[in-house]
This record gives sequence, C-alpha cells and structure tokens, in this order.
Amino acid sequence: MTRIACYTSFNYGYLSRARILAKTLKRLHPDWDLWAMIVDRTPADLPADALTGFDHILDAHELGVPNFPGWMFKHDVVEACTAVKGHMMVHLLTPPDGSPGYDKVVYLDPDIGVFNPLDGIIKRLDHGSIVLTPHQTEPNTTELAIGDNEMTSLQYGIFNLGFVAVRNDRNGHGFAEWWAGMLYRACYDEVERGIFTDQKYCDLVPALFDRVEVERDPGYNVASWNLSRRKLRFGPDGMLWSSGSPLKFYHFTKIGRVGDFMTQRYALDNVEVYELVNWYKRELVLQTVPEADQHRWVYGYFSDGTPIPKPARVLYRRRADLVRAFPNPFDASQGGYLAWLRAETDIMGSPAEAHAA
Amino acid sequence: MRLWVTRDALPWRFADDDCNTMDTTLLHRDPDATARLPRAPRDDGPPVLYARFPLEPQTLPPRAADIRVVAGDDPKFAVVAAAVDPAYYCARYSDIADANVDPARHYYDAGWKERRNPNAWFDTRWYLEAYTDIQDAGVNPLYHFVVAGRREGRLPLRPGGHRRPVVDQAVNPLLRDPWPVAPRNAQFLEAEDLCLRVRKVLPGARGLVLAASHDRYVDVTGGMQVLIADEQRLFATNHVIYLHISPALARLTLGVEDPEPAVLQVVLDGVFVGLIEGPALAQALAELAPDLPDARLFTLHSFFGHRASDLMAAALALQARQHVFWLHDYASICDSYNLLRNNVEYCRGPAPDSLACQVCVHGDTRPGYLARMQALFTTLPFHVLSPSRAALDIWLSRSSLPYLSARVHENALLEPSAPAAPVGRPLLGTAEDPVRVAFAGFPTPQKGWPQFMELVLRCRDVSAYRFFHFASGEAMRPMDNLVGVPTRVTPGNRMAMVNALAEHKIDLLVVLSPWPETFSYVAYEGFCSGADIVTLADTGNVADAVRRHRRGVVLANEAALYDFFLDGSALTYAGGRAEQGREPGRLRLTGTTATVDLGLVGRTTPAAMQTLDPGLSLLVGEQTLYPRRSGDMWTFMLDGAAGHVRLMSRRVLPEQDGGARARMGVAVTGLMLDGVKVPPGDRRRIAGWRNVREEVQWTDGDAVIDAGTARRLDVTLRLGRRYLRLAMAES
Repeated sequence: MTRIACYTSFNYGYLSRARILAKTLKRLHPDWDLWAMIVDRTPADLPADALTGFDHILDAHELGVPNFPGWMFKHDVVEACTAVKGHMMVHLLTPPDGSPGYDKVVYLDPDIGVFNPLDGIIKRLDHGSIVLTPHQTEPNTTELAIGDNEMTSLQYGIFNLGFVAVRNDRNGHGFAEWWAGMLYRACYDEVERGIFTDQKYCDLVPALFDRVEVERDPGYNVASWNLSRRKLRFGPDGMLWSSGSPLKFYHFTKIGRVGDFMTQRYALDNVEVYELVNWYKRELVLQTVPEADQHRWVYGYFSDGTPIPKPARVLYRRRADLVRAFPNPFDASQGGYLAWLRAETDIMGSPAEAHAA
Repeated sequence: MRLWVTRDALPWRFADDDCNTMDTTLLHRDPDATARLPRAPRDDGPPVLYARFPLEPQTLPPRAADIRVVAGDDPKFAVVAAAVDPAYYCARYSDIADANVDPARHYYDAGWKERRNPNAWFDTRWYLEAYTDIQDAGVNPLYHFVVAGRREGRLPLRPGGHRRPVVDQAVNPLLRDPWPVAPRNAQFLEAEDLCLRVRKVLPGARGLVLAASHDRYVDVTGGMQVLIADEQRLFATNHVIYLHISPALARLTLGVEDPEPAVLQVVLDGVFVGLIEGPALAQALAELAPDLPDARLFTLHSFFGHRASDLMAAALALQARQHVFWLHDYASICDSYNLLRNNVEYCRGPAPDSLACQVCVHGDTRPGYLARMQALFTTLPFHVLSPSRAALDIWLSRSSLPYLSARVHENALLEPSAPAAPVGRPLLGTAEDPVRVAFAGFPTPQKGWPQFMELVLRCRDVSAYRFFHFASGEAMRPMDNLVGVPTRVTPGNRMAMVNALAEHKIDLLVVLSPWPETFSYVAYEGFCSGADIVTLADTGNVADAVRRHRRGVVLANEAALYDFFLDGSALTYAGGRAEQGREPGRLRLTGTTATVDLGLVGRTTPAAMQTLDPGLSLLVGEQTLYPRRSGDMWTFMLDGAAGHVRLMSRRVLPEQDGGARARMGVAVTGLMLDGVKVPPGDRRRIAGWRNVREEVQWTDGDAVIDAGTARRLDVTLRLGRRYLRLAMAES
C-alpha cells in the first residue's frame, strides 16, 4: 500500500488555519499521515486537543538544520515558515532514523481548505516525480488582470508553493535536497534580488529536474490570483465546481482587507466565491484556540523579550562576521547580538519604537 | 432590437458624450422639487410617482437627456447632479427630506463626505475605501467615477451585486435569538383552564382539530394566516372545534429542545384565549381525549418556533386519528425553508454532506435538524399535503421522511371569468401608453425585489415601460421612475391587491422569487387582476401556473429577464395581449385542510396505515440514529466506536398482532460494515436474526449487530411488502 504523507508548516498564530486544513483534508484522506511542522515554541497552556487532526507534530529545531538559531534568526515569520519546507520534505522522504520514507509527499499551505479528493495528484505521481501548480493556467486579457497576475508571477514565481507534491524516487529526492539547500542559503522576501522565499526558486524546477508535472486542472489551488479566469459554481447535487472541474482545494490567501479586495476585484459577481470565503471566516472563528491566538511567536523576540525588528535580521544575514560572532543571536543573556546592535547601530531605536518582525 | 434604449443597459455606463457635458450643464432643477417629493405614504393614500421630478400620477417622468438647461457656473456640480437620484436620497436620508434642501447640492457639498449614497447604483463608502487614491486626493467620488473611474475599470458598487449583502448577512436561524410575540398581559392557562374552555364548546361538536403554525393567525395578516382563518371557519360550520397553537417566542426554525417548558399561544375557535406551557397542553388534551368525538385531526402548517417534542406530545395526547403536514415551504428538508443556500441561491436540497451544505450557514446544523424531523415524522404518521405539484415533486425527490400519503391540495383555484373585449392600444409602448409593469408585496430578496430594482434601473431611460410597486406604505422603497401604490390586504379587504392591480391597469406583474414558491398567492392575485406574469424558471408553482394557465412568460434566468425588457420582447408580448383581450379569472379559495377528505370520522383502518417504509432506526447506546435512504438501502453513519447496536423497525399495531411481537420484521438481503459484507450466519449478527434462506435473513424488528469500530452500516431490505404504521407509535 502506498504510504502518503501530507505536511504543512506554521507558527501558532496560524493554528486556526492549520486546523481547518487538517479538518478538511482528513475528511477526504483519512489514510494519509498528516504532519505539522511547527515553527514556534508550544504555548505552555495549549489545550491537548489543539492539534487534533495531525498525526505527527515536529518542531523546526528538531529538523537538524545546521546552526539552527543563527539560521532561524535570519528570517521573519513568513520567511521562517517557508524556509523549513525543504528540510521537512527531505525528512519525510528519508527519515533520519533510517526508517523507510513515505512513497509520496504532499505539501499544503496552512491557509488551504480541501474540498474534493486529491487523487488526481497522487495518480500523477505514479509516472511523474514532482507536481507543481502554476498561479495562472490561462492568460489574462485586461491590463488590470495582467498587471495583477502575469506581472506579479514574473516577480514572485510562476508556481504557487502553497502546494507541491513529490514521489520518493531519485528525481523527487533530488528536488527536495536541492530545494532544502536553496532555502538554507537564502529564503528571503527580496524580490529586488530575484528571490521570493521558497517560491521563486521553483521557476527553475522544470529545467533542473526530470518528470516534472505541471497541474493545470482549474480545480486545484484556486485563489485570488486566478479568479480572473476561473468561476466557482455549485451543481444541483451540491458539488462545487471550478470552471468545470470539481474544486479540489482553495487557497484562502491573506484573508482580511487586502485579500478580500483582490478576491472581489476578480470574483466580481461570482457570489459562490464570497460564500466560500465567508464559510472560511466562520470556520476561522470556530477553530480559533485562544491560547495559541494570544501566543507570541518565539522567534520574534530576543531571549530578554525585546522584539526583533526586521532590519536586525537583514543585517545579520548579510554579514558573515556577525553570524560567526553571534552563533545564537537570540541570546541576550550575555549581551550578545542585541547589545552589539544597540552599541553599533540605530536599528533598535528607542524601546518604544521597537517591534517584532 | 433596442428601440427604446437610449443608453447602455448598465446604469453606470453612460453614453460617452455624457462625460463631456461639463460645459453645457445638464439639468435645470426645480427648486421646489424636493419639497414636493413624497414622504412615507399612507396605506390609503393615492398612488405616488417616485421620480426625479415631482409629477402628477399618469404623467411621464422626463429623462435627463430631454432636459434643457440653464448653464451653471460649476461644471463639476452638473456632472454630479445628473447622477444623483433625489427620490432615493430623500427616502433613504430623512434628515435631507426634512431639511428641504436640494439632494444633489447636499450630496455635492457634504453628503459624499458623510459617506451617503447618491443613488441605488453608487456606493460612496465602498468607492473611497476600495480606491484609496481617490480618497487621498479628496475628490468627489461620484464625479471621479463618472468622468474617469468607469473608463479605468473601477467599480461603483462593491462587487457581488444584490446577492452579496444577502450572502454577507446570512446567519443560521438558530444563532438569532427568538423574539417575543405574545400579547402583553396575556392570561396564563393551566391544563384544567384549557380543559374547561374546550368542554364549554364540546356539546354538539363533531370533532376537534389541533392546528399548529408559526404565529397567532387571528392577529397577523398574511397569506398563510388567511388560509388558516378560512380553514377554521369551514371547520366551524361543520361543528368541529379548532384549537390553534403558535409559539410565544418566534424563530424561523424548529424550536430548541430545553428543560424549561416552551410557552404557546392558544386560539380556540378563532379567539385568542391565552398562553400555555407545552406539557400542560399535552396534559389537557390527554384529559380531554376520552370525551372527544372520534374525529380528531392534527394539522401542522408550520413548526417554526415550536419544539418537535411539544408537537409530538400534543398530537399523541389528543390521540389524533389523522395527521396532516402542509408543504407551505421546504422547512422539512432544511431549515433554510426556501432552500436558498446562504439565503441567496436555490440549492435544490442536496445531501447534508454535500459541499453546498458545508459552505452554507444552514449546513452545520442540518444533520441534527433532520434527525429531529425524522423523529417527528416517524412518530406522527403524516398525510403530506402540498399546495402545488411543483412543491410536492421537490419534496418527494429531496426528502426521505416517512409519510402515509402525499397529495396536492391547492390553496386556491383560478377559475375562468368572462373575457374582456380586446382593447385597441395603438400607442402602446410610447410615452402616452407605456407597458405597465408591477412588483407586488414586500420588497425582500426572497421575493426577488433586488432583481426588480435592477430591472427598473436598467430601464430607467426606456420610455416604453412604467414601473409600479404595490405594497403597504411602510414597505415602500422609493426610487427614481417607480410609482408606489400603497396597498394593504386585510381580512376585511382580501381583494385589495387584485383591485389595485386592476385599477392601475397593470399589464405585467413580475414575480421573481429566487426559490421554487410552493404556491405564491401574489401570482394568483395578478392573474385575477387581468395582468400576466413574467417570471423565472426556478420559481416553482409560479412558473407552473403561468404555463398551466398560459398567462405570462417564463424566462430562463435573470439575464433573460433583462433582455426580455431591453430588447423589446416585453412590449411585443404586451401588444399581443392587448389584441387578444384580457381574461382576468376568478380566485376560489379551497379552505385547505377543511376540504381534504381524510376519512376524518371513524377509526383509521390498517389498510390506510400502510407504508413501504419500515421506519428503520439504530439504537447506539442511548442514542437513536436515523438512516439516509437510497432505494432499498438504508445507511447509518457511526462514530467508529459503536460496538453492539440494535437495528429497530417500526412498532406494529398491537391489535393487529395480538401484542405478540412489538415490532415489524424486516427481510434483510444485505448487511455491510464499512463497505464489507457481513453474510448471514456471521457471528457479528449477534441476536434477533432468523430463518437463513439463501441470501435473505429476517429480523424480528430488534436485531443486534456488533458494529465494532465501523463508521458506516449499510442495510439492504427486500421491499415489496407493506409495513403497518401506528399512530400512537413510540418510535
């Protein structure tokens, strides 16, 4: 029997989203092993059932990433939660304890909801090694849509890395190792340097690896970035269709003011989209765990509680001498990087100005 | 053909040259115009024309393009003023109407900064929040939209059209607190008080009807209330006592079971007598039962606000001989009683585990709701009565509830009347004789008001039509180019709507309900007035009635509706009607339950109590599970830890079986746990299994199965035999 693992990566601020992913995925694929990659420290008062739905939970520091504190410090929360995805994929394909890896591994972002079985993807992995979903699978025609979609994809990546699936073969493994290596090197939101977290690198995947499958079924990875060319409709039997194909998963990206605006800009009168987004918002309320919601991201603060501003991270990742001098830059017990920042830079500003990033 | 359209169909897409009129100023405004705009009309007031300018009834509103002009010194104001709808503005903002100021001037100077909307098609707040560059620039947003924004692809309203606010505001009715509806200081009745009152009217009575609906029909005006009043009067003429109950706390779904007793309003023979708690009502009926005539009927018009346990207890205590369930809506299929997913789109009642139900605000609670419905229908053997074939067909295809019989019993019949002679209307479709198009009733999304508004907006520069709204005064929604006609149907003036529509010579009544109406009294009022109906395909009995009586047009969808008016088809149709002459028709009310032959007098015979449904249920610990049925297969969903379960069938009539067996045996041809067959003789068929014969094994109606950790149990029965039902069943 084929062993399939699905994993997602998040900090506790995203727990409510991850719980929706777990709930919707497990309903359709109860036989898959669902892994939670937690990039955070577990709140002491977290209820025991907070991670119900996940079969396995792994903390990022357990991945065996070299120089973990220094590496983690280089990333803000979005960068950090994506930076671990490659290492986690390697972990599931070739577990460090020598046990057999999973036959097929699927990554899904925590802000995804699954609505129909993902069997098509699993079947693709019978002959392919890597499956990717592009942001857009149909050209746009209006200036507004081209600017928001095609041009944005050129900057941020052709494929959306809220989803990727691999088979445990030479190709799949080769991809996972390469991806983990690139993310160890630099998983940053630095579009001006041609890098966007874990995503932009994957533009290279069809060139670097064999048997890459580009999934263009309009039922996968529906989101604001492709609503200009996709329409959601319910059938008389209650099935939800995306441009003629059953909706497999929807990516509820940036739920809130910005995401809502982009959604309605392209959903227009496709009221089913609003029904789906409203459902997600209701579920978010239901799945909220207050202890997690109020939890501070552990990697957002120095050990003395001082918030880490983004420029402190950027400076650290650009200067190898700082990395050598402060292997654990979070540690402020002996002064450390925080003391150096205060003495040598204006980055920390006055205490009132400091904020975590 | 777009003979009558002077601008693009969409209201915000002006002809291009409209944008370049800043130097010629469009409008000359009557300074007294707003002062003479109508305020909230009285019900008995005259027809009111809501228009851009104050007009006498029967005259045509001038169109902006026809107005010639005094050049103003502020071209920006001219652009804005042309797009402000004074009637809308005054109606929506009473302080503007009270202040007697020019709405356009107010919007231009202050209204947009106060985030007021200038008309029905531009949302000031949305535009500024969506396009922060406009907000930052401090530009009047309506001016910006007209001269630039529309060409840049900016939207004047939040996307999603009229459906969006409905979707955004949709909530499960259980999340809304119930609201009190009983009269203040109403008398509280104990069981013996009610017994006394009933005993007073008992001498000479031939029977008793216990009726339930959602409100106190004697004090509320509405379609169902009128029908119930008729029903009560008809029963009274046959000397049948009519005891009506409705909840004192109203809600738009089945009431929630609670240890605290529910309070009911009691109306006896058309007179409100007080309040009683649910258990006290059952107690009173149980005490009365031995002394009541045999003819006892329980008729359920609506269970909104009621608790299923109260209804069952009352009907059982009464020892009703017949039970009637009315399909006035689809609440027995889903607590979205009109089968509107998220209150917006007809969903066709899909399976509760469908994605549509998952996404719908009614979906989460639907399985539990259906379980309570199953308990109600399993306990009380209902004759299901439907006001229309359309509603019955939907119910039969979408509901798996057990029933004794199901039939159509129309609320009213349309009978032919003398046809009127053809009327020559040579100027039909011109400003002198526009086609008269109306919407009747409350302006709600569930009745298709937003679609009607959209129609009026799209036709705002089409002189071929005149639009009317007939409703009670407080229900009026003034807007440009809409004639409001205050009309209130009351028990004393049942024909008020028919007469008003006829008096205003309405040609076409639009009925645009987004769900399949079970009857639609308003459509029949339209027929009787002489109007024809324009409706949509999914309007249930409205579309059926139009086809049946050949009195109107059924259009495929909303887009086809707008095309029908904008491409001139409506005018062609109206012209054809005028040449043929009108056939108004007469409405004959049928008296609902009072005119159904259910063999009310005398005891029910076993033959009349037969059903193909053995009423399977599964006892898991203390919990009773009800199945989903598909053909001859009954499916139970388990929690994975059920262990030993009991497969129960319906109880048999004791007198039919001498009390030897409590339940009806069923022939099981297939048993599967998690899709894997459990063959006859398998050790998991623990007890209550008999006569292995080929693949069929009989149960004695109470068979034990070891379900272990299974999550699904499928039972296939050999059908073909009929099962007896028991009116007093304990399920």
